[in-house]
Amino acid sequence: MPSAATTIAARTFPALGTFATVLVADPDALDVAHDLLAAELDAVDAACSRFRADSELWRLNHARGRPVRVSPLFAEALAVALDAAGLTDGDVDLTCGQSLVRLGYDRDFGQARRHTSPLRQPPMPAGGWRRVRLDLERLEVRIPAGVWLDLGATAKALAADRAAAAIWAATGCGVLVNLGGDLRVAGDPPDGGWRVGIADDADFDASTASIEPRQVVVINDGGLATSSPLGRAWRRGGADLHHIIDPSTGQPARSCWRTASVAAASCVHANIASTAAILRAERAIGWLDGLRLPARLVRHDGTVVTVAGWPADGPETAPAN
Amino acid sequence: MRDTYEFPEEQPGAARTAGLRRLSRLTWRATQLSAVTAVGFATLFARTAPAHTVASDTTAASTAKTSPSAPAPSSSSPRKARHPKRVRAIATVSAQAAAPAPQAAAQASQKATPAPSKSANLAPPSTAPAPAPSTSSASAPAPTPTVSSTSHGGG
Repeated sequence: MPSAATTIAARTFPALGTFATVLVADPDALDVAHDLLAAELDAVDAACSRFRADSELWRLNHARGRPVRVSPLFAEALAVALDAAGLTDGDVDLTCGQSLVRLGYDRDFGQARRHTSPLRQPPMPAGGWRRVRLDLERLEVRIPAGVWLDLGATAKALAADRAAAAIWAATGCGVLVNLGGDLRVAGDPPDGGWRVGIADDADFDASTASIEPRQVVVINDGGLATSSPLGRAWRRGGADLHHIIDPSTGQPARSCWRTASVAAASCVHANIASTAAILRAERAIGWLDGLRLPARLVRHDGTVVTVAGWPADGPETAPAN
Repeated sequence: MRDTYEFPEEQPGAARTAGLRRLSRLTWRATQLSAVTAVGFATLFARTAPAHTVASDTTAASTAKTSPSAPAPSSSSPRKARHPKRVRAIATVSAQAAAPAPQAAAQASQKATPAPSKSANLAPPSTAPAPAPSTSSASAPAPTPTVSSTSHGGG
């Protein structure tokens, strides 16, 4: 029996424009876990960064409609993003790259939000995910000229899934990977499970140490993700903007939720569901319930709605500081 | 200066034979041209016609496998595959199911082949999140929870 499970080792470092945390149930495995996670994040960043001129995504976005050969990792990330679009009927649309650029999110977020001048171009709706062509046999991708992809959301969740699996395979101990709030666990959990704090009012400037969780839950398997318009929000010319885009308008989604936290079988699925929940607003309750995806939805006034078995806030789930 | 211009009398049927020969050559050339054109079109079609897209395949699977009790996202009519031999489904990689060998993650990333199956719907976890036990009742101090919030800065 894993008697050492009560001793959890953790390490946090900046990555992908946010933070990365790895927790292992065996402290001796921490160094290996850290190295594996860092390598995975480097690989995902090199493939899927929208801002790096040497990334595969950059090459594809600037290919002007020509087919582009891609790596297996990029093909996997693209397949996951297309899967997300299909599973949400296009609500989570990877072709929002130009929409984000028009809104001023055209560089690393830390730099982009410093610009506050009015936007010079009108919003641009998503280019249409059904127009993306991915040939898995040739590892070849083609998107129409002028359409830009943004794999930000699903690529980060995919990285969490892949890293957790790799660490578990390499070390054999229970592991939790947390990439900016997108979590994935693998292997045997520690005694009592993995404790996860759920924050619903943290903005970009909140550090991992300063965030006050509103609720603490325990998970033992799968993934958990939180989406919110609060985290990556900025202001241009008096307009408040954020990064969750309504594909039909190219503008930030107007949602009744300030955060949506969802648990699922994988981090990718949790992330897809939480992002779609923001976009679907009130309809998200019935949708998540029908899929039996446990979720915690928080309205702008702080009212909490729990779905599909997510525990209600209460004294027993109060933050443990 | 010549007074008369005499031409040798044509052999009977010579013109007909020459015409037939010319027609035969033309027919052969047309056949060759057709063959080359057909091969060219076939090659062009094979190169440019898109493989059955992941996107449309996803939609098709969603439609087919949606449980009647689950109000899954509505889906549009799937596009027919033009190249059935290339049809490949894709799945969100389940980390546990597709755990790479215990090697560096970067190596695994480069060598990994996209999974040839995909999700029909978003899957719930095996167990739902549970309330965390009260720290006061635990025998030892509970570890600080890792936090799930929206993406924010490091720290």
